[in-house]
Amino acid sequence: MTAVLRMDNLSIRYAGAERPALEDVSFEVGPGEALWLAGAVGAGCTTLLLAAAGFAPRLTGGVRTGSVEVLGHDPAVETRTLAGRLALLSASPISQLSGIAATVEEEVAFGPANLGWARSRIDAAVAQTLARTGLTALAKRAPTSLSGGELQRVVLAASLVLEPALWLLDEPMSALDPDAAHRVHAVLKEELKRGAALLLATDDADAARLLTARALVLQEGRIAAEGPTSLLLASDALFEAGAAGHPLAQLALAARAFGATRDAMAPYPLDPDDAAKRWQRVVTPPSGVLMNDAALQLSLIGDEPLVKLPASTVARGAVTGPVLQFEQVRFGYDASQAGVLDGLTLQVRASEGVALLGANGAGKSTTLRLAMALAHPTAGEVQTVNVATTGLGPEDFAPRVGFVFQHPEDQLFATTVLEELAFGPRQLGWSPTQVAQRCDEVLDLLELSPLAARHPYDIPAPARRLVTVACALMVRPALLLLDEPSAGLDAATRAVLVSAVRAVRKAGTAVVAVTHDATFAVEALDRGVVLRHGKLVADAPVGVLLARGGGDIPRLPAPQRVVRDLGLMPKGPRFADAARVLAGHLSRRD
Amino acid sequence: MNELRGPQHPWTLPSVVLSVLVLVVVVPEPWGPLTVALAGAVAALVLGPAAVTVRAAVVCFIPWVFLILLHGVFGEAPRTSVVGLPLSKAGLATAQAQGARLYAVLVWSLLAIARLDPSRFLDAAATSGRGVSGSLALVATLQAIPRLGERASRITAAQRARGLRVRGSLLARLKALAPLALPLVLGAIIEADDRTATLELRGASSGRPRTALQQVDNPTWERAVRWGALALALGALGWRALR
Repeated sequence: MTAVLRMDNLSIRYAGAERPALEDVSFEVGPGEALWLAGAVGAGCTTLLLAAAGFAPRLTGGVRTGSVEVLGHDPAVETRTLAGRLALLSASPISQLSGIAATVEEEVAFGPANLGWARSRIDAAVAQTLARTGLTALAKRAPTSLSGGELQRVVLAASLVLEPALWLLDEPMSALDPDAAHRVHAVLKEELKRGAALLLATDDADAARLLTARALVLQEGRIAAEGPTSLLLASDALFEAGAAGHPLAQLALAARAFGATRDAMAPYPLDPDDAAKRWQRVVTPPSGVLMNDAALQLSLIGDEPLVKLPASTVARGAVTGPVLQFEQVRFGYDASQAGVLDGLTLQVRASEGVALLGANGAGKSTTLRLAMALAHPTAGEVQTVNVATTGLGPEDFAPRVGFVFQHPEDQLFATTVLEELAFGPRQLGWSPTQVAQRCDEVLDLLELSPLAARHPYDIPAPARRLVTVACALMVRPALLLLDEPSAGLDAATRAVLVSAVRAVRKAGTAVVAVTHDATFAVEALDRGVVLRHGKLVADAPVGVLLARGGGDIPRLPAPQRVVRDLGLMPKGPRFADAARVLAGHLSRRD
Repeated sequence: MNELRGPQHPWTLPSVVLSVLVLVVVVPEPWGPLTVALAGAVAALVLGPAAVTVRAAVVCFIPWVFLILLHGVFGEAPRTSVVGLPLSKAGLATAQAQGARLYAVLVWSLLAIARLDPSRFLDAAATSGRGVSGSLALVATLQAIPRLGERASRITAAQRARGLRVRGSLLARLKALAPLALPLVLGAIIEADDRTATLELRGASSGRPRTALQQVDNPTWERAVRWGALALALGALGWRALR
């Protein structure tokens, strides 16, 4: 078998770095083979993908020793030969557009046209690719008018059309809604069948398990473990390398920490059915209803509004009137996009944590923009912190509302993290003492103190994301608006974010977050609101909503699902609740 | 008129604009630059988008004030009174000519960029049988301008949400410059690398002849306009050299 990708003793050291980003890495991947790159932040997974594409160190700077070969060619040198044979996708799709195409269709046709394909072949391939990726309806739209998740599919389609021999994927599904993620997963499976090779760097162990047969665990630039994905996931190798591991392995590990003494050791179960079978032997389900959703009849079919719970069921903590109120709000960016929001009515109270769920393009980010007065309704009214947004701008709400945008690079400009945090309060006239005191509090809350003196662009991308959250928290907002806050975060950084969101909610801040991340939603928030075509179609406790998930709603994370399927009665939908109740049963029989 | 408003050959307007940029430098003051500037405004109003006339004027406003003060105050006598200020007549004429040149360059350039259809531009290069790498480099560079505009709006939104007031006095605007400009520059640098990688992976530098995605008509009158524009620019340069 001829290797599609071969690396021999590859080492890469970036200029000024204390240690090599990659050191003595050797492996090969054959046609139809998928390899999972696992590792903590800074382990070298992204550098490895860039090296495979020939961009590290050519574009990134630094020094390379050892060799990289794609289809027998060095990708850093023989770029013409390999044009169209490599596909590199990252979590930031907007910078992966050609910048030339006016429509999605042209974007997808850009590569084949460059390679001189016949016009008839281009037309057929583009139509087929758009259908495979579910983009046919968006073919005539401008790429820049699409949501992050839609863009992620566009850049995938733009590579897919070229039938590359090697896919290099860096968190390629982070902004996708569940339906879109499922479709992309199926497309990548078909690519493997076609004979393409695939390298996948992701923290989503379940996606890795379903897509790849072999895994490479990186730790500080070196290969720490290598083997079949399912064997590694079922073992402690990933945890030992500082990587996240599989959610069900995490559940067993957490159950051990809560006192479980049997059936919680490696090899861990990786499939919810296997886990249920394994633990069913020792679990006696209590009689009664599953969780607390039996009384709630949800109908997720069509655009009919679902049962709305009374406010008292969804609001916890002190209720002092709505912090955010949408009343029959309609909005469209232009005539072609009329009805981005179509009669949305929504109330959010102090301390509430609301997950805005729904398909890409459903109007979720637009809802946040209207709440921050970055746009104004064409009909209806938006009240933020009890003030109608009409005639006001975001700067008017900045003293009471924090907003975290999707792209951290759009706001960071100071020379240190500390200065970045101080910027907002200084704009609002805070005294130096107040600013310094609040900086300390927020840096502690988000565990950023060690990075306070570093340049925001010199810290890892997940930490940079936390800096933007820290900036939004500086003003002790009454309302915190988060747009995909956990996209691109590793498990450890996400845990810090979850803990910070919970802390500010306890202090009275209402949080509204656009997210496709089920784990973030159940751990940090308590209410789920589903938008479909700009309409509210579901409003219920997030655990209940995710337990009935599917389609455009993410499903409850695997650990909670397993515990639920075992008929256990966790206190709530969070991971710790699941681990605690499982541990109770796994220690009881000893 | 409809022929003008519709999609012309993508090389026609850029050729005319290049010729105009030469003309505006060599035409005699005081009326030459003003005529070229007014012609630019009329072209923008006829061809569209009309908004570029205003956009160019907004950008020119502060330099215009500066030019009037510089040449008006320090220019030679005789002087005339403008809103109570005794300003040099000759200086004002110079300021008017330089201000018109500035506006002409801006309005014509903005018009060319606004009407540029990158895909058709590449298709025109492909149809002509020439290599597209030069066209691609040119288009990618020009397209960086609207992309910067989109990024600038995102940055402005993000900083306003942090309390930055971008309107108000000149001082307030100057203070807002760093938080708006620095992320723009840093982001553009990062994006340039990503974009280079994307173009390379999608075969932009494959060296193979590009396939035109659409038929680009090249009527005789447009070819005549382009050759005429070239001849006009060369003629103006020759005239200036002999003068």
